[in-house]
Amino acid sequence: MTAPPVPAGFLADLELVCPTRTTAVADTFLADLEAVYPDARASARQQQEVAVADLVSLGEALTVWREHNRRLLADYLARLPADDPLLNPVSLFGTLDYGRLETAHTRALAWLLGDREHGFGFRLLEALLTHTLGGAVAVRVGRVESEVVARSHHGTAGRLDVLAEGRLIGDAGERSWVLVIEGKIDAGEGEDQLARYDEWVDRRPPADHTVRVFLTPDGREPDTSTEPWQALSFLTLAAVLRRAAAALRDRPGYHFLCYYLTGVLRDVCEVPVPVSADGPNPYAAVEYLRSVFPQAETEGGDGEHR
Amino acid sequence: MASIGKCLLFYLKHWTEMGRLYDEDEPDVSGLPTPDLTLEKVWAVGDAACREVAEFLEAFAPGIEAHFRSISTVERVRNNLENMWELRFRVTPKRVPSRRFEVGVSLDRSVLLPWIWCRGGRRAEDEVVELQELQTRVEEFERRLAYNEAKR
Repeated sequence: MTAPPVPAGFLADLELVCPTRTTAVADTFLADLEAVYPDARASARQQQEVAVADLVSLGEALTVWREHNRRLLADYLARLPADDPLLNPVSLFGTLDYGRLETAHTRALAWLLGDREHGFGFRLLEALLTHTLGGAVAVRVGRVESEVVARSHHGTAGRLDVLAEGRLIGDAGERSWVLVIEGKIDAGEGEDQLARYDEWVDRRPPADHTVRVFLTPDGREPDTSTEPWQALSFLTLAAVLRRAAAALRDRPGYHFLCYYLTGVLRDVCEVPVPVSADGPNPYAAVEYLRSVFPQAETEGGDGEHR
Repeated sequence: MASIGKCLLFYLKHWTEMGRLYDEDEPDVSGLPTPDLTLEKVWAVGDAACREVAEFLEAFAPGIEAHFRSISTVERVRNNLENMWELRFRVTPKRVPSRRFEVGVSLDRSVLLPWIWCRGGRRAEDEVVELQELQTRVEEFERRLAYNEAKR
């Protein structure tokens, strides 16, 4: 049996990445390649073959899983008020075709976290700090700003999405804190972006607690810093804000917050909002609602009723 | 003609579930029957689907290259088809080399998606798409012309 020839396409690709004109290639290279090629090809073709029976049983298991999640979702949905962001068809920025525009989301977030005309005071900021610091906190807030110019000592400037600072009030007295949030939706980090922000934060007056939050659709870890940035997904952020929103229904900004959360869920997290229990993707909504109502996992739990 | 393998077909049919169980490092398996056994099958099917998608997308490469080569220099952007599920080319128009753009085919959410990307945002993309449509219309016109000539 003769070995199959090395395909011409492969040789053309090889020439592209390793041109013979400019690269010293051993005379025996092609012969060596031809010798190992049949084994590599055969090995690739002998990858585990999947039997049809396995596909059938896996399909059944996935159907059971989907039905389980649909039941859970139906149970959760029965507990939601009619104006819940998950049931609302209107996305705040989706209406402008800016559903995934990063600056729109982070500016709106900074507005919501600050004490502005929405009437929430700093309730949402407290909720976010409680989540990131891992326990309930009472805070005094000095300022909340968005698009803060952060200049490194090399003179390179960047814009930090959200900066907030203030003091924690506890039994042991007051302690200072600073919160920085950098959000990414579709873009990646710029070169050394978070490291540059770290440098800027480090040059400021030191705080007792520095909370760095890296906000992305999937909650991924950042690549450009060695400091402890907390990876936060937009889904978790939405759950944190949604939990706090339950006590803010009578405030002027409540409906703005609902439309914002609908947009985060639908446009950023790709939850099929408005959600129905028989939709094709109950999982993300269940994950979100499990976080909103951690005590109400099974039937009979205490939810927030219509 | 390119064909879709049975594992890829399964992946496309169960896109949401396979995405959550195969793509995530530590998937949430609550409610999944016999999770260990099921996850083993998910990984086997997912791995096979990745191999099948690579073969499937590879079948588009010659046609795309041939189409753009008539007006441009076409360079395949090497990526791992099995991981990325995306075929990509960098296209440099012969007359305006500075207006380089990229084209490709991705398989995403059960949709086979031909795409085009240019520096300069949507306006630039629209221009390239318009040029392509124009060329298609010219080719269609020439085909009809040739057909009519032949009929005479």
